[in-house]
Amino acid sequence: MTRRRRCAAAIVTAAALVLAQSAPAFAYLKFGVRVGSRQIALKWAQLPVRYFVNDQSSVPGVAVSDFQAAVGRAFAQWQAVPTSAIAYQFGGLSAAVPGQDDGTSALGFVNKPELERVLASTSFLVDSQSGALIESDIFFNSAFAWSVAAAGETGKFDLESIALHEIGHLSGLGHSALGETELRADGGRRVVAAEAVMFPIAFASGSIAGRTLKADDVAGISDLYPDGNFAGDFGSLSGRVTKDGQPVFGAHVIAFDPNTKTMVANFTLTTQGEFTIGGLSPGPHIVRVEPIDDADVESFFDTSRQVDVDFKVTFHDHLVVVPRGGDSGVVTVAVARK
Amino acid sequence: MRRAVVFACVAIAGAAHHAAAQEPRPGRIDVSAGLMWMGGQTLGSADATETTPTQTAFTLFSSTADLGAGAGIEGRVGVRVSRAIDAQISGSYAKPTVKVSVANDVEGAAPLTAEDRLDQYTISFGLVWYPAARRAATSRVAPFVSGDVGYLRQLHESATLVQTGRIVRVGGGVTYAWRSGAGRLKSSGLRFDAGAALRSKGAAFDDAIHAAPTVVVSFFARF
Repeated sequence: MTRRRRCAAAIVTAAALVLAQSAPAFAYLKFGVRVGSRQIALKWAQLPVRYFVNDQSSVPGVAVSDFQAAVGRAFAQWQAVPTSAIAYQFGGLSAAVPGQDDGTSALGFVNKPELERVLASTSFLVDSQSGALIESDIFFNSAFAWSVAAAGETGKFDLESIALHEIGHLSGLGHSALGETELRADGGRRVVAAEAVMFPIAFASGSIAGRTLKADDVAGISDLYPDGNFAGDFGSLSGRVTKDGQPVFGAHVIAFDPNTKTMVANFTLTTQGEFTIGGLSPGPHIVRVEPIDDADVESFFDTSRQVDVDFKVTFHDHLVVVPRGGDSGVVTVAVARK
Repeated sequence: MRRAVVFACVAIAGAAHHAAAQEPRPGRIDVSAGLMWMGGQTLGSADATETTPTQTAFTLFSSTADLGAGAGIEGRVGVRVSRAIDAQISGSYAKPTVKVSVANDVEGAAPLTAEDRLDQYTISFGLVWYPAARRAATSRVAPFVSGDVGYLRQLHESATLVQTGRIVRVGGGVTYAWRSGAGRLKSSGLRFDAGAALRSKGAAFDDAIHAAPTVVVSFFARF
C-alpha cells in the first residue's frame, strides 16, 4: 500500500508537508515520513536515482533537448559533491507525466496557471509501510516564462537554477533559511540575497545566481548520503536555544566558519530547543541565532508546529570549536524577546 | 612590561663598557629557560556573505580576529658550531586568547566579542650569531642576532581541535654572564631576546603572515 505525499517545495509557495526531522544527531532539515510511530528521513534506498524527462511538453525557447540538458547539468552538480554518494541516472525520454503514480520519476513542464506563485514543485510516492521512496516527480510550471540561456534572459526564470533546487527536494532535502528577503508591494517577497540553493524563494527572473550549490547545500546532501570519510573529516555543532530559560522551537541557527568563509545552518528541531548542524569544517565557528523572518514559516515546518519568531537576532558569546569527526559539545544560546 | 625589559637591556648594555670577563666565551652547550612575552596580532577578517541575484556579495555580518598578547615560558638548547655561531633548538608554551569581534549585522544583532583560549606550543630550530665574538670572548656582555624557523601548534580551549602553522622569529639581544668558572659549568647569566614573530596558518582566518613583537628574558648556563 502506498500513499502520495506531495511536498510542494516550489519556490515562493510554502511546502505542503515538510516535516522537520527531530533526530538528534547530525540532523539537517530534510523531509521526514512517519511510518507507524517512527519518523524516518525520506531518502532513496537505492542509487543511482533513475529519472526520465517528459518529451510531450515544452515551452517557447526551451525545446525538450534543452530541458534535458539543463536538468542534466543540475543533476550532475549534485552528483559531483565529493562528500556525498548521491548518484542519478538519466533513464531516457518518456511520456510519463510528472505527478502521476506510475513508478517513474519524471521531470517536465505542466501548465498550472492557478498556481500563480509556484514555479516548480516536487512530489513523492512513498511506501507507507516501509517508508521507502518509490518515485519522485518534478513539474515546472509552464505558465511562467523559462530560459536555458547561458547568461539568463530578462523576464524569464532560469530552468537550471530551479531544477537544482527541486532536485535537492527530490533527493530528500528540505528548505534552508539562509537568505534575506524584502516584501514587495503585491505581498510577495523579493530575494535580496541567499546562500543556499535550498532557500525556498527563487531569485528574480533573469538571474542565474542559483546555479551553484553552496556550503549549506553540500552539507545537507552529504549528511543525507555520506560518502568517503565525510563523518571523519567533518564535524558537527550542537546546542540549544533558550528564551527566558525556556526552549525555543524553530530558531534558525547559523554556523559561520571564518576560515572558509562559509555558512551552514539548521533549526532547533526538538521541544527542548535543541539543534545539530552537521557537515562543518573543523575549526572555530561563530554562531548566530535568528527567527524565521525571511520566508513563510510554513516553508520550513508543518503548520501544526509552534515556531517561535519573537526574539532578537543574537550571536553566541563564545567561539564554538568544531572538532574533526566529532561534535562541539552542547552550547546554549540565550535569546531575548523583541 | 615591554618598557621594563627595554630599560633592563639598556642598563645591561651600559654596563658592558665597564665589565670585562676574564676568559674566552666559554662552553660548547648553552641551555636557557625563561619567560616570554608575545604581543598581540591580527588574525585577519572574514565577512559572512550571501549571494545577490547579480552574483555580488551581500554582507550578513562581519568579523575580525585578534590574538591577544600574553606571557609564556620558553626554553632553548644551543650548540656552538663555530666561534661566532650557535645552532639552537627552542620550545615555548603560552596561553593566548583568540578574540573575534562580530559587528555590522544586517538585522541589527548587537555586536560582541567572542573568545576562545588557546594552548600554544612552538618548537623552532635556528642560529644565533655573535657578531662581536672576538670581543665577546673577553666580555661579560655578548650581543647577538638570531633567527629561527618553527612549528606552531594551537590547541583550542575545548581541547577538541588542534590547528598547526609555521612561525619564523628574527631578532637579537644580549647575554650577560655574571658567573664564569673553569669547572663543568663554564658560565651562567641572563639572556635578553627581542624581535618579531611571524606566524602563518594556525588559528588565523587567512593564509597571510601575521607579525607580533616578542621579548624573552631567560637564565642561561653554558657547559
